[in-house]
Amino acid sequence: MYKKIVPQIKLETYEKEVFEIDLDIAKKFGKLVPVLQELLNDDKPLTIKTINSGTLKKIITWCTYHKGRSPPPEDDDNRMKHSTEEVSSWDDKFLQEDGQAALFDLISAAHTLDIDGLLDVACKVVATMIKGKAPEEIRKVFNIKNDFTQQEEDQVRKENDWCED
Amino acid sequence: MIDKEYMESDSLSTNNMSHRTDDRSLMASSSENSILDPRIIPNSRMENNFEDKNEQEPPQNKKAQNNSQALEQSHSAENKFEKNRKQRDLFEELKQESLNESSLSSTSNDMYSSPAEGGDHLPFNCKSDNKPLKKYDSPASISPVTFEKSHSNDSGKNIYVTSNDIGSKNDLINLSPDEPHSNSDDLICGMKKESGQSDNLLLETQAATIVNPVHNTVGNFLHDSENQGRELNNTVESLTLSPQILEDFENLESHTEEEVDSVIYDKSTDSVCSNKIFGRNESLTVFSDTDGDAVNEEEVLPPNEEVMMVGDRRKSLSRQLSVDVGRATGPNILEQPETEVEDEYPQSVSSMDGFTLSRSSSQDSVLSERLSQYSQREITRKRRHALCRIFSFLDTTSLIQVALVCREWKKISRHPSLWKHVYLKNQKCSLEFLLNISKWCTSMETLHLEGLKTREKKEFETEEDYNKRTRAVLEPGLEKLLQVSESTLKTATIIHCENIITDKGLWLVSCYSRVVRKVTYICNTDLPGADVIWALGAGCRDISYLNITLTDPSAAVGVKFNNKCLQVISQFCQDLQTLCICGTEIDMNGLVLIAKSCQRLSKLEIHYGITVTEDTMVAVCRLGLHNLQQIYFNFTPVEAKAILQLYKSSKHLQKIHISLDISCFDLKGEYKEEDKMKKYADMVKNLKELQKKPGVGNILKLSCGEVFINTEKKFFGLF
Repeated sequence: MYKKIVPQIKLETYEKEVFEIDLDIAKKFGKLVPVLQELLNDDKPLTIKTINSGTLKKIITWCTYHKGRSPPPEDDDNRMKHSTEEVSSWDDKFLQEDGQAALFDLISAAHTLDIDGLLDVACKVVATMIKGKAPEEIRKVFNIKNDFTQQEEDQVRKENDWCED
Repeated sequence: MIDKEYMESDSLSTNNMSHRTDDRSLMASSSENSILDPRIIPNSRMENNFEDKNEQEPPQNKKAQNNSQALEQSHSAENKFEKNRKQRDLFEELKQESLNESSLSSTSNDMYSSPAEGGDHLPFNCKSDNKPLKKYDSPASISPVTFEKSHSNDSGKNIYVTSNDIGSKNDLINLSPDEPHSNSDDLICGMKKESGQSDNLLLETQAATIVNPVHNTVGNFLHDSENQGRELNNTVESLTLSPQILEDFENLESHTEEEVDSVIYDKSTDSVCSNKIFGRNESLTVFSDTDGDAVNEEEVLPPNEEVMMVGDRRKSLSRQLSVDVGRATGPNILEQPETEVEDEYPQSVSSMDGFTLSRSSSQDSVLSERLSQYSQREITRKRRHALCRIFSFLDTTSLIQVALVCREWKKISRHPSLWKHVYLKNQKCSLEFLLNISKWCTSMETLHLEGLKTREKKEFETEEDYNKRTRAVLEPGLEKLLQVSESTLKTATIIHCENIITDKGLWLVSCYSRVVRKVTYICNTDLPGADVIWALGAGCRDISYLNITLTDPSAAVGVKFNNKCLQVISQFCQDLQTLCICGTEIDMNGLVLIAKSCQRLSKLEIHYGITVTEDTMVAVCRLGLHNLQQIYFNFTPVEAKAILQLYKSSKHLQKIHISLDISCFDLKGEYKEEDKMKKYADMVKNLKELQKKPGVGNILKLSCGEVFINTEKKFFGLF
């Protein structure tokens, strides 16, 4: 009978598309938390030029999916151990389905909005891509040019050398 | 005509090093009589970055034609050597006040250079075409870079600033003196208002130019100097930067970079950027959008203050969001190393575009277009934040690997914040390696060395010689590591590095690591004696976790780790919460001391000890172990009555774990073979019965090895 009115805030993306975001999702955006009240009272959307619509959509989807579940508190000591195995299959699929570029956009946007959980998960996915690969493979995957001179590369190789001969 | 020149200057200032693309798109846009959209350039540049790098477009004729007037002047100027020298002197004078600009202009320019264009670090590549860049590949061929200033005939309103490397004569920048003037004034006012510090005005003005590639920067530089009343002699028409001067600039970079850096990123680079690049020129009011719509510049690139922002807080927030992203929350990697990376490895920047910004494959051209609005630096900063975060999820081995990918990755992967937890496991490890990593392990908190091995035994060496030569071979490296992480190391773990790290390793921990809390030393050959334990106790007063054990039962007899050690521990480490001890040399006397002084002990493990009798347990429980939660008898025989005693006295006990095996029973060999079997069987039987009791049975966990006595063919039925 009475439709519950969910308070919403408005964000405008780079493409000037305005998104209405539920307050409890917006609360996850660490950067917005201090101004949430203002945003609620204000009818004008907040423009975030560094985020495009596709990315924001994805962020909202992610936040909606993870709304119920609070992430386990990240213990700095155990950060290494948590490592990359923690990524759930849903997250993994969700983050990778749009390809690398979108993933990096997402990382950038999560960084911008300060969404810790998303940022961690996305970074873990990328870390998994890096893990256990030889430098040459990594360059291939991420399209990086090897800018070492031969001398420098030898130097790094030498520094990286575990064992003496 | 003028418009076209404006367009050029604009496109160049947007992205200096994308000339190939730039030229191409310029040609297209000129022929169509449409206006170039400068923001699209980085996108196409990125695409081109990964194309065949050798492909070079010929210098564009149109440009040269456009700028022929100024070129003539430049030629005439080149001949006037005296004037050149004069101007150079002047330039040196000006250099003092424009350090920031110069250094940054070179930096920003470096940033724009694509990886294909020579890997060398160019001192001041104020060149505007790919061709001259090639020339710089060999240092010998560095030719003086000419900056030229000339006034057009009558009006005196146009300043042509040419970055005219000999050989590239197709490039001119046209800056109108009036509009820049007003713009820069506005800019200054704006920034002054924001910073509230008029002292920094000059610095900020200079900082504002940073975001632009070199041409604009130089233009502003000349212009500003005029504003400051420094007369730039009109008759002096060109100034030459000799390589020497360029080197000077570079040297000065390191001093000025940092402060300027802070200015850029604290201020709204975005608005500065758009003002500088787009707002300078009134005639460039329209450009074609990606959709082909002609849009007023003011609409597309609104000044942040007017359109985007509503309230003050939102203003600052938006600014933060668009510019200062991650500065407050991200890891601190970028504060210090960024400038370093920038200085040392300018080439890596553009090459790394392939990483976060590998839009060449992405259809999302809008985004790349947008990204061009932000300074390249900001993108770099963001990318490094992201990389740093990603690397923080890598293990030590992967972290070592990624250093080989490219310069930037190497630089980031070796940031101390990523080396807080060092895990080296089951690897061959040389002393040199430990010494190397100690260079960046300066804020290490966890050091975990497990199963490390050293070189193989050589053929001519005897086992004895080999052991002798490799003994303690890693200890200098360990010492260095502990030394650099003196005030941060909280956990030190050395597991099974027999012979190459001895109990001296533990002693080294006591020497350096003042705040260490957890110490683990598992070794079958060199267990520490009372002297080392004393040093450890005296040096590290915060130890709450101490684990000194072994895993080889045959080595457990007669170890140096004895009651004396327990006495020392009980004296020094009264805050112990977890204690793991081992060996047959500890008995009731030692345990009583521990129980008495370590009242906080919540976890106790005894490995390969002698039988814990009921008497022992009574004595121990009378004095302490009241807060014990877990106790492990790891291959340490224990009487069932002792367990019962413990259960009665320790109210918080949650777990009793006993593992037994006949091979580890009676290590000291006090019983005869037959007695031993019988006693072992009895003990296991009693424990099993105890396990059935309510209460104690719930927390008692038994894992006992089978006993099969061959002689009597009798199976004791124990599991």
